[in-house]
Amino acid sequence: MNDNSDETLLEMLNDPKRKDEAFRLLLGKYGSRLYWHIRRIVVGHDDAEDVMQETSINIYRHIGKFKGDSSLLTWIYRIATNESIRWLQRQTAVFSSIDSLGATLEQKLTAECDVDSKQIEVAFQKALLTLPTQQRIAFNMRYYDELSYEDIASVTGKNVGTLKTNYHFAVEKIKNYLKENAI
Amino acid sequence: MKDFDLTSKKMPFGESEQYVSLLIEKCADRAIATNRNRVKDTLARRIYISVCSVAAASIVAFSLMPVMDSQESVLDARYANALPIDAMLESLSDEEAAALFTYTIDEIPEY
Repeated sequence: MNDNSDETLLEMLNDPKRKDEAFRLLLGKYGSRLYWHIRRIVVGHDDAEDVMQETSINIYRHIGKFKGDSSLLTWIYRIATNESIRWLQRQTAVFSSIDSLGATLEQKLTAECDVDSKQIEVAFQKALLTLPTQQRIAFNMRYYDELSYEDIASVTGKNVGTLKTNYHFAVEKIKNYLKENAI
Repeated sequence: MKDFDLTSKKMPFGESEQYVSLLIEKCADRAIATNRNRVKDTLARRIYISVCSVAAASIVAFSLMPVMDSQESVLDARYANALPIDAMLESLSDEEAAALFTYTIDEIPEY
C-alpha cells in the first residue's frame, strides 16, 4: 500500500472523504524516517514519542496549506525538525541556548543505549552531541537520511554553500572526537 | 558520503521496526482523533459565542428601552410647557409682526 506516489497522496489528502486514509498511508510511507530523524535530535525514547505525536498532529492539521513549493518529504521533515527544536527549547534553562543541552542529551544517550550496541556506535552518537544543534541536525539529514543539500536547505532555511561547509566541519569534529577518545 | 564512513549507520538503540510501526499507527490515530475533537470544539465555541452575542445584544437593548422612553417623556414635557410659536405669532399685533419682520441688528439698543 505504501507505493503511493506523493501526488496521489496529496490528491487524497485534499479530499475530505479520503483524508484519514491518505494520512495513514503518508505516515506509513515516511513515519519510520521521521521517527528516527526526531529520535536523533531529541535522543530520549519518551521524548521522541511525544515529538512524533505532535509532528503527526501538525502534519494532519496543516496538510491543506502545503502548496507544493518543496517536496512532501522535506515539508514533513521541516515540521518534525521544528517540533524537535521547540522541544529542545522547552528543556533549556532561561537565557540558555539549546546547544547547552549536550551534556543532558549525552546522559540520556548513555542511559538508553541498547546493551548489545557497539562501542563505536555509542561513541559516534556522543561525538554528534558535541556539535552545535543546527549543525548536528543538518549532518544527520545528510549522513543518515541521505537528503540532498538542496533538500536540507529547504528544511532548514540555510543556503547550500553554508550546509556543505558545516558538513565538512562536522565530519572533522567527529573524526577528532573519535581519535581523542581512542576509538 | 565516501569521505566519511567510520561506522555503520545503525543507531545504538533497541527499538525494533515493529515498535516503530506500532508507534506510527498510534500517532496517526491520535492525530486524526485530535483533529476531529478540535473541529467539534471550534464548532461548539462558535455556537457559544453566537448565542452569547445575541444574549448580550438583547440585554443591552432591553436595558436601554426605559432610558429612551424617559428621554422622550422629558422632551414632551419641555415642549408642553413652552409657548408654541404659532400661538405666540398669533398673539402679535400687525405692527409688532411688521416690526419683527423688518428688524435689523443695528436696532439693538445699547445698555
